[in-house]
Amino acid sequence: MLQQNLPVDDMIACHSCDLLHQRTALVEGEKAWCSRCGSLLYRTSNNTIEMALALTIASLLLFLFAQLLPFLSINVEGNKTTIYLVSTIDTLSQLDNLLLGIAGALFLVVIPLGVLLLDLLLLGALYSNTRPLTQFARQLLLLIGRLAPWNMLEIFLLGVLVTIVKLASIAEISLHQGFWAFVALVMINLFVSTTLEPEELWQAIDKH
Amino acid sequence: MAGHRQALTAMQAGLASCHVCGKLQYSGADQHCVRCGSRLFQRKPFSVQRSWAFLITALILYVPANLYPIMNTTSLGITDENTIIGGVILLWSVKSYPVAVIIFIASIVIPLLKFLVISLLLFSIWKGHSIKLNQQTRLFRIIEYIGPWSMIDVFVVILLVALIQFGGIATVLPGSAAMAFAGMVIATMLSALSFDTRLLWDSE
Ligand SMILES: [Zn+2]
Ligand SMILES: [Zn+2]
Repeated sequence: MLQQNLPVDDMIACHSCDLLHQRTALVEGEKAWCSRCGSLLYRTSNNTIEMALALTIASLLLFLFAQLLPFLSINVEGNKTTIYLVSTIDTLSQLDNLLLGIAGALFLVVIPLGVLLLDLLLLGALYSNTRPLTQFARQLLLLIGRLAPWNMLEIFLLGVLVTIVKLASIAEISLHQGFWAFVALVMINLFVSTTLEPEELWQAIDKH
Repeated sequence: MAGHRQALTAMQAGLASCHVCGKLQYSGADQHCVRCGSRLFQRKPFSVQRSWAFLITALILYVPANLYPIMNTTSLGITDENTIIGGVILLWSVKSYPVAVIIFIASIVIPLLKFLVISLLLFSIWKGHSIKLNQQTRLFRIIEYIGPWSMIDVFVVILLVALIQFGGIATVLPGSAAMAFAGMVIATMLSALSFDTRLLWDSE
């Protein structure tokens, strides 16, 4: 059964059904599908490392803006309160519900910011070819992969929208710069995650 | 399409593709991936047992998540306890139809669908049913993708708690169901992450 002469480096096994396929070169934007189960095998990213690095830096700035600029204000009978995203965690930590505070801090700040910073280090290292950094590239990409399923920024955005609709019935809501920075951040995040292929990052690391 | 079909799986050829980075390589006992250094397995270890364990945890948490209030609203001295389904009914009654539908799907339909599909697929692996494997695989990918969207209601509670400080007019406090619900979503995600769709195809 063992065939020790298979050209494994030019092959790929489907992640859904394990069927072996020969890798073929794809035109940019093309995708390869499994012939048995129809799952996506691999694709070319239409995003270069340089472009992804630029978008990561933009995302980090937008993340800071979203946290630190006024997010929205609530006006109840002339009583106006302006809210900052960063103060959300502060308010939660003042409640005696420690677990919810930790969950909020993890999902709203620690994980998204962590992924962005790891992206910055990894892409920066690959782009600039900085020696000490490229040695950690594998660990960085491993950590990014582990955190990725728990990065729920776009789900949080839908949560924000639902909250606004809920509040709109009892108060007057106005959206500020922080909110729009957050919307832009989510859009860029979605774009990067659908265009940057992890396999190409692994191949880039392998070259170093 | 990628190349011509070879009617051989990686496992049958003595190969393994790394669960973390996807690199295909020859597999041996107690081996680490040549590319990323992770432990190398042909199938996720204890996939079925771990999937079941997390799924049962999620099912247990689903009960308090729905029975207890997800948040307590105090307005002018009157405290309202809102369960998830109570919140949906309230939204519907004030004609917030789109939001009511979003919360209903995210908080009630998606978790139930996830329980149903994952237990069906685990059952299918156990029985070695190799019928409609394409659909079974696609169903799992859909469930895997929509799972985290259940977190919407938890985020709404976090936001409402933090935002509503109307100088004593109203306060919102998280209810005991909030953490149970968050735990339930996390457990179903872990169940899906432990699941290995290749086990479905192994019986073919
Ligand atoms: Zn396949
Ligand atoms: Zn690996």
